[in-house]
Amino acid sequence: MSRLAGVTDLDARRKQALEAHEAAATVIAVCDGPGCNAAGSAKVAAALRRAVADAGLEGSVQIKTTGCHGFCQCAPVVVAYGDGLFFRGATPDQAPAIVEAAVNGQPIPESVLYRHPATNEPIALERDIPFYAHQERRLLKHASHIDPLQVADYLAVDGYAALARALTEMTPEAVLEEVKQSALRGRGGAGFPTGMKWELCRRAEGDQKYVICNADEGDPGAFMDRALLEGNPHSVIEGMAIGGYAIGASRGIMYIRAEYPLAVRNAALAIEVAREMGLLGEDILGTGFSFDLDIVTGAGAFVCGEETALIASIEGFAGEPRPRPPFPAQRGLFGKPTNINNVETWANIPLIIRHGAAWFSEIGYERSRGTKIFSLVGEVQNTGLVEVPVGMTLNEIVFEVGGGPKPGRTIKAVQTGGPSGGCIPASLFDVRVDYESLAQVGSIMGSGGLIVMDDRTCIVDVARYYLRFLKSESCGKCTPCREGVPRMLEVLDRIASGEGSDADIDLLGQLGRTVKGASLCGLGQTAANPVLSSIRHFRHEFDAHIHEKRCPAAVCTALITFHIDAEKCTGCTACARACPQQCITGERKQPHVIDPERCIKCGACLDACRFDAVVKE
Amino acid sequence: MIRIEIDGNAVEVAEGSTVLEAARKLGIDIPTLCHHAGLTPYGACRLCVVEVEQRGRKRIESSCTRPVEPDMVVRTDTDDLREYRRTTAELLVAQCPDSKPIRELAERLGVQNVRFEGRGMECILCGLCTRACQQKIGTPAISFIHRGVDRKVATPFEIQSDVCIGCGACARVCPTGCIAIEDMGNKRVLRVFNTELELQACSECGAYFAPQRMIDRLKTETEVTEGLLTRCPACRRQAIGAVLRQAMR
Amino acid sequence: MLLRPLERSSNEGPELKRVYLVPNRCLGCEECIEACKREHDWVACNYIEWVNRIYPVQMVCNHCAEAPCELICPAGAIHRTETGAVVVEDDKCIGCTLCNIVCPFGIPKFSEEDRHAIKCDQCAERVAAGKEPACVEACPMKALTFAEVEDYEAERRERTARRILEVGTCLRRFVAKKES
Ligand SMILES: Cc1cc2nc3c(=O)[nH]c(=O)nc-3n(C[C@H](O)[C@H](O)[C@H](O)COP(=O)(O)O)c2cc1C
Ligand code: SF4
Ligand code: SF4
Ligand code: SF4
Ligand code: SF4
Ligand code: FES
Repeated sequence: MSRLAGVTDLDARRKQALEAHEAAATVIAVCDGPGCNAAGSAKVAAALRRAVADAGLEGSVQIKTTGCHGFCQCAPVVVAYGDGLFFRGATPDQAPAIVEAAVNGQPIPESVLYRHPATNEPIALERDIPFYAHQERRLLKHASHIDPLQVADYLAVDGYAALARALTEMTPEAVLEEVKQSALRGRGGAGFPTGMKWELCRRAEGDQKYVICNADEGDPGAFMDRALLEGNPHSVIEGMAIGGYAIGASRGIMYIRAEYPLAVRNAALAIEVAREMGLLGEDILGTGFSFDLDIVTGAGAFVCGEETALIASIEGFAGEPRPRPPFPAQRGLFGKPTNINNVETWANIPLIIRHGAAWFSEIGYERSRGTKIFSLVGEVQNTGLVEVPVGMTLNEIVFEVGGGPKPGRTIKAVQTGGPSGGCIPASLFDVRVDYESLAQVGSIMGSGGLIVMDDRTCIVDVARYYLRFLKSESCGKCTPCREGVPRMLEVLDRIASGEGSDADIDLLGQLGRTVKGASLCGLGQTAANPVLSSIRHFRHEFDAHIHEKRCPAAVCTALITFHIDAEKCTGCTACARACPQQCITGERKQPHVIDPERCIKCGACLDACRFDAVVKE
Repeated sequence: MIRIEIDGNAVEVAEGSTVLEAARKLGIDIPTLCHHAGLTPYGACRLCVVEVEQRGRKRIESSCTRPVEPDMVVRTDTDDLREYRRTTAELLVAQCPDSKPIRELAERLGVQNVRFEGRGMECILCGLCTRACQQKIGTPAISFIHRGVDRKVATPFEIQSDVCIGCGACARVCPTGCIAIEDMGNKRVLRVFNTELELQACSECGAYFAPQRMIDRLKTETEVTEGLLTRCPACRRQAIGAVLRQAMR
Repeated sequence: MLLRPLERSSNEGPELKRVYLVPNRCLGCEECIEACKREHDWVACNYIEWVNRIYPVQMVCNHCAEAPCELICPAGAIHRTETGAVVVEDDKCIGCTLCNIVCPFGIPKFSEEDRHAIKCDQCAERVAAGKEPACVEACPMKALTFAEVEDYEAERRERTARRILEVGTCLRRFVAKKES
């Protein structure tokens, strides 16, 4: 890849890329995100390439493997652009039919056709699918159109135009001002205004400054940052280079968790290409600005996402938080002023510089502007990665984008902010998902996990799940978090087993306040949130466990029983055969009975019964 | 000098001092466990938490790590802080039920009964020993291993350390006294670290007086006269005494 | 490696007073040790060494110009005061005993009970208050003087001269005896 001497070279290369792009009438994008990859997207892509060759269409049809399309539940996802025909659950043997449909515009074979989950109505175009229709995909759009390993693809969608503009038309102060004007706030959790953060670091004294991209993404179930880095690594690189220019940093580091090998690979290849093209390194685009990037892989502890622990980890020490102040902007990596931002924050920067602060902030709510990517999981129809304007209500996200509850169920709560957040009951779903509104209902925005719970989810059980996670992720440095979180878990375990008392609720409150108030780092300071917020909004479920010894969602094993409804039982013996304890007795064609003494509550009978006669309470 | 206010009293301390130092200058007693004046601040036990108010914003911070800044208003004894300290102390007693110093401290902070089952540890994980060893002695002989509740202080792989010089600093900074150092014949034993060291015999009287590895490090890393290092302090006094006596005649 | 090589000196103060032993006056009564204990929480920082089992020599810290204990202390717990004494700051001491091992005179002790090093501080508080160190004051034989080195040298010269004179007198008597 030859070095670009200046902006003219860059524009020439972009033109070339666009021409090549326009030559193909149809681009078939095969999602290679984590979900689709696991579902066999590589084989599908290969089969599609073969089908194109067999049909002699190499000139007009291009097959691209792209980053995550977000709708992981339809994996492997294939989309044919121009029109955007959507194929769900693609298989290699469907490849010729898909190519044919893509070229002729219709019809989509039934086995890969998307149908509305409620109405069963077929939907052919990606943009008509409700999951996509309500989104505002600014960051994710390119990730699902371009091949992350082809820099030409990124150039064709105006890649590196923002960097060129910043370096040649703007002073560092002007870049900083633009970011401040945009009102962009950190997407890593706390929502600190990015422009202000940059300014602190820019003003700090130091011969060497660093910018860091935090791609440690440890929230269980979250994969926003992964999708961005895997699907569009150049956008993050471009954002960091612009940040380096504005802040006065000549070095950058991407801290990527080692569990993301594809993200590491794609980012590394992209850095290499950018360096060869002179978009990183000395004298970028002949402007005299120098900036280079390195990748450091993290050992994958959740706490390493915390800024000071991340710095310690890059420095080669144990990934343990350090007290702040001094803040990284004053004394960070190797004692030098350091600015850390989240992957998604960085990826927003090129958009802001290219389209302007006004464009960026035209959507959003009050002090929270722009879009935010969420990983929507749990008990909703549509799960996956979604990008929506900040300040959309939870109702819209859950019912319109997410498609509402699964058949026959009711949604009761959403957990936002992952293990640091809190659960929000359905009665409060008109809350807007922005930093301030979520804080008001006792939760946080966090990095973008949205876990939907329905009537079969037990709140006590969910709180236990998060505490178990936090217990195993606490670094153990400070007392309240190391000792307090496991003790809170003990109390919850007691409640879940039906041995809790009212005093336990007080104890949880007292422990929670101390863990929150006195812990050293953000992990401990937010660790009590899931418990405290669930007590606040779902006290009645705790009371049911404590006073009635009953788990309303029938989840907590100690509090549930299995029995057989004699009315419904046909005496088919299926349950008795499935029971590993052999504790179900009854004559053939006669109602069966479970011996509660010996039942281990495994639920095998429930699954085996075809007549809904087994009751779990 | 920087002037700050603590519990309504103004105090001036040198720039770079901590809030804890400033409070002590005023005679205000803030409990600490992981703090040691000779070691770098660490902020782990969280007993020394105070409320720091700056520009109208209040934050809870550990006073041992917090550098003073102009116009800071500090409170050391609010209801919240008392609750944090009491609960933290209760958690520490539950962690190390048999440690007398910890029980006494907890009592002083108002812990009446402990509502959790004991974890049977002796170490409160304050990190004083590891800091003394790593940062001051310059031996990475001991460090924390494992995470969360499994965290503990140990030598690498929990086997005999090949760098420990047996100086005993770890044992002497430990607030719970859980690191025992025993001298038995020509051996010094640090049982908790599975480490045994040869002691140096005095070239004059033959008494064992310091670990050989400590003497070796002094020989290679400092300019102390070699002959001196193989003589025990008592024999050094004798030798010098003899010289003085000679000179006095 | 963090053991600091012995390289720099902190002794840039004025000419300072030290405790000097006046020859042959010490009886080994240990009054100085008792006084030191009283002054220092019942741990003495001075010693009586019996040379050849019969000659008592009182020993205190030299407060060396380039004090090895101060230079080696990794915790920065030993420093020189304005009056020139090399002292341990108890709360900074981490108990490594290195000062004990590097002192050429074998002076610093280590208190396992208090968990810090203990050495002569030349009775910093007394001296600041214009008094003599406790040991000096306590010695019934006036075997100890607290003086600047110049003054002590002068005194010592005078003592020696007197001794030479005494020896000379003896000699003369001896010669006279022989001659007679
Ligand atoms: C326990 C813990 C884990 C965190 N994990 C992450 C993470 O995985 N990714 C991330 O970007 N920020 C994480 N953060 C937030 C970072 O500390 C930091 O605030 C963020 O990277 C700043 O970037 P931003 O201003 O762009 O949000 C975590 C914070 C805590 C306390
Ligand atoms: S709050 Fe938890 S994770 Fe953070 S420093 Fe303390 S123990 Fe470690
Ligand atoms: S005795 Fe060994 S482990 Fe303890 S501080 Fe000294 S060198 Fe370190
Ligand atoms: S052994 Fe002692 S000094 Fe070391 S961490 Fe444990 S309690 Fe602290
Ligand atoms: S024992 Fe104390 S005073 Fe002596 S060198 Fe060690 S830390 Fe310094
Ligand atoms: S003494 Fe400050 S946190 Fe332990």
